[in-house]
Amino acid sequence: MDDEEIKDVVGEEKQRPIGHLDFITAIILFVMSVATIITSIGYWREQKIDFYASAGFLPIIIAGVLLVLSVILFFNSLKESSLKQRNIEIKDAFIRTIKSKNFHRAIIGLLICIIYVYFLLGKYLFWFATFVGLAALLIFNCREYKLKNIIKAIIIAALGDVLIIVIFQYVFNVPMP
Amino acid sequence: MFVSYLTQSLAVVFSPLGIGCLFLSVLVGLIFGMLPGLTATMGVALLTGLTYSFEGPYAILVLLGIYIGAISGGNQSAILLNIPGTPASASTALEGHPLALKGEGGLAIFVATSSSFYGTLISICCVVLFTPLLTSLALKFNSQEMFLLAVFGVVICGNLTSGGDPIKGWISGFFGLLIALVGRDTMDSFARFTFGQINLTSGISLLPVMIGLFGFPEVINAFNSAKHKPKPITKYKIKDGNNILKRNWFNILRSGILGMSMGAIPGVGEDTGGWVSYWAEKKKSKTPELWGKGCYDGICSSECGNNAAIGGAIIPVLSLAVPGSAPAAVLLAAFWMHGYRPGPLLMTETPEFLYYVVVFMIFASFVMLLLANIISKYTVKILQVDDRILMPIVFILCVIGAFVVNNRLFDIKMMIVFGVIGVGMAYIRIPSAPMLLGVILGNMADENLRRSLILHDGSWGSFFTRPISIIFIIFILVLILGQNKTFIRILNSIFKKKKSA
Repeated sequence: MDDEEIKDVVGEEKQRPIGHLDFITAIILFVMSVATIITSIGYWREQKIDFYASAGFLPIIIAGVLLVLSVILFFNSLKESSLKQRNIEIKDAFIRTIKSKNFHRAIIGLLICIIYVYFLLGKYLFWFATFVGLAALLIFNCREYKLKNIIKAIIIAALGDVLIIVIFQYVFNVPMP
Repeated sequence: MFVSYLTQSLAVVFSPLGIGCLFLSVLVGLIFGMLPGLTATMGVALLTGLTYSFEGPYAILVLLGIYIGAISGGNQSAILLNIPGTPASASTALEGHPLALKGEGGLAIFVATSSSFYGTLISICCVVLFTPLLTSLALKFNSQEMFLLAVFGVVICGNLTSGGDPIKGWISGFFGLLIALVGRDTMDSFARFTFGQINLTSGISLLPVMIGLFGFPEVINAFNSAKHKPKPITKYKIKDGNNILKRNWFNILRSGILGMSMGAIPGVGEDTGGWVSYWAEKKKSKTPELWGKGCYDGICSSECGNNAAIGGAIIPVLSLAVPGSAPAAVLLAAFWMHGYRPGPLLMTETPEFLYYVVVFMIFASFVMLLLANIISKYTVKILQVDDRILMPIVFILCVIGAFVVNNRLFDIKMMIVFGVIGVGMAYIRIPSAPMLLGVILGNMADENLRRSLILHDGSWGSFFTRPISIIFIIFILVLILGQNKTFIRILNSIFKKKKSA
């Protein structure tokens, strides 16, 4: 998977073959549907009421539909390629993804978001946590890490932080995390 | 009497306080609608407290202004950022954002706002003319029909957004239905799929799912943009917008009626109103290849449909005191708080109330049209802002939006989880919109399916003996089988045989 492929996250390019991804999706969906059906049958047994009145009834129906759809998706994904070929494609795509610079950037950006949400929010004051999180994201997004760009990012983070707090906390009286 | 009540209503609107309330409430509503996470329900709920000391008519004016502004305002963030401000605008994002990327964001907002305006007006006409008729029709929707309506919604949404592969659309929709079932069920309070997590027992809130699915992929995408490519903004002529609207007059009329009808069904609301109208227009379109790439017809139908649902949702509130949607439920509570008791006795106890609602809605929609178009001149400039600066700020807005629903940090964490799911789904080309609709309709489907089966001792027979139910079953089957080439071939051969005979 090269850099152009990662861009496709928002659907910029429609020509990328995704048969191997459909293949994986179908397998994951199949396993998930079976697990849902088993869990839902457990709910019915636990409740000891009529099957159609139990909390597991609709989940079983939905999981059943998903199971059928996953089987269709699985066979559709094998229309253009054999099982063996799909396995090779998945291996290649995995290696290319791991090596892709854009994938690395997406992962680092995601990690910053996760650190902000899981480790800063709720543990520090909102304005401080948000300033740190926002500044980190803006600095990360600078393509050239020059002092001028970093200072600019910090100023934008501070202004954004103040604006968000003024609008939400004071104007709309919305409680902040 | 009629003239007296009408004059009374107009006196409220044209008083200095009334004008101030009207403009301010619609403006606040538009801002609520634009910001992802701040919904119409929240806007009406927050302002209900603030209007406590207001005189009744002014309070109603403020609350209706917020409601209309918020449902309409959602289209601006949907078009400009591909992040629907409210769940009702999800279908608008499909057509509006590609237009914004082409530089036609301003025109798209004009068309969307005008369609919202016409949708509201059509629904107001229906409030006046058909309240008793529509109420009795909406009440014919029993549990069977409500369940089938949910399935129908998911299936059409899956068909519409799948880009030629409905299997993926349906997977997304049914997965959404499953997500909605997480937490305590509405009938026995039995905890499902909570895995011992206390936070999951109250279920997964809609807004973190919506913000995660639609907003987060945009944020992640900004990490990859090597260079800032300012999106073009071309100036538009109002004449062009009016030509589009003129061309879509029948679409607007049909979407208005469809959206209003959906709104009138208790528990369905604006989201479904927008989707059903979008589906109806897409089915009839002579240029289906343009849909999903920026089609004005889609914006007209979606926006007209979701705003028309406002009037529809108010119909059962006025006649039965049964809300048609979540914001209408909050509105009903606010009406009670201000001493009005909507319901069968409304016309005998407070006959002026109906006139207030109708007149205030008409003026609120005019003000909405004016303000939304003025605001769009500034909001459209957001397209020129570097994504690498804009998206981190949008991320913080998403965090706040996810938090304010229940004031729980857990919801923000869920937003991140669904954000990652949204990124993955976009990558494997599974549309997010059906999943969102599934989450909206899931509990309705569960509750109504089980209720109908319990009432009929587990028999499915009642689904096949009720006319509306049968119509829905036929629609669903046609939608599903219509994707099957063998079925289409068989149908074609049958029709050919008939013709030759």
